[in-house]
Amino acid sequence: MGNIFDRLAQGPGAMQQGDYNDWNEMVGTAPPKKFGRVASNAIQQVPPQQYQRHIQPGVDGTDPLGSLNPGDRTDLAQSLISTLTGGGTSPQQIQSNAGVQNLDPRAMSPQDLANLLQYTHKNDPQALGKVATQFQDKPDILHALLGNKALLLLAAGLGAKYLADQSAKKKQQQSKPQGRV
Amino acid sequence: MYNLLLVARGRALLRLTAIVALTCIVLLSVACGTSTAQNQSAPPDLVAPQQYGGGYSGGNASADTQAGAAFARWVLDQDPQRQFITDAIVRNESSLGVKVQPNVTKADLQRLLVALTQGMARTFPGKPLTVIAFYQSGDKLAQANFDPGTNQVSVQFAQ
Repeated sequence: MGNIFDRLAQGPGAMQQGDYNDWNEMVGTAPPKKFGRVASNAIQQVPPQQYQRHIQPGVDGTDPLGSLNPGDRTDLAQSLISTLTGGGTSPQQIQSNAGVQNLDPRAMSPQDLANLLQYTHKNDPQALGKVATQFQDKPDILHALLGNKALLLLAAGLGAKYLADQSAKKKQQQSKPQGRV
Repeated sequence: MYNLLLVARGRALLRLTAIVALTCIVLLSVACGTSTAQNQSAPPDLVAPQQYGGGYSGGNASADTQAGAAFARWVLDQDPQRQFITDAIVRNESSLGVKVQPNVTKADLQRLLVALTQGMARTFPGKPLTVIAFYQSGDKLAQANFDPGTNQVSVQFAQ
């Protein structure tokens, strides 16, 4: 992942140590409500077909959910199921509508989780924003959950705000009286 | 005898006219065909700044969609020293134009175009993609095409 060619070929979701630092400084510390709103908005700008290509194991040679460590995948599944059931949908309905064989977060396969995420993306994309909020400081999980395009939009949405804040702070500092002894 | 000469000259003139007319028709057909092919394969404007984004980090990163602009900025972020790329423009989330430094080698340009195309395919999946490298003057230097059916990238250099 060292040179520019490798970084460009991997796309925006592949991060290095410096990228994690930047992410946590710029995105990880954003207010959760705003983060959730921007994440919901970002994921809704990804067409279902593109999301399907991102999330389905093996499509385009990638497996974002299978690449997560099992603990992170369990956390993601747990958070997603809690968010959906918290919205009033019963586990039986989720299982039947999403075509998921197993709804136990610890035993869900990457394929089952992919099916559940596609179902949520189509029917309740705002729920994905809520789930994303719980992994605000974990770009690897966010990348698996959202994909490159939504991740870029999320960072841009929050980054623009961050830069605006920085700019406003600078202006405030400049407008303060100077030269006091 | 004089009449015979006149008839022969008339026939030659007729033949010459026919040849000229035929040549004109052939040339016109070729010109029209070339023009159509160029129009069909002509990429959108990938040099002029677009609606979203703009000046960024000493270059230009813009696009006609928010996601495209974010991708253009990300591209420039990968080359903070501006060793290869100075500007990035995205159109329709399917075409990327980059202005490259004049001293980039042909081998590096080829690697750069392939890498950019692969990164773009991971961001905007499932569609044909075009990545074009331009000189600083805006003249085309090389083009890469991505076929989502085969997952292959092909690169052609301008003549």
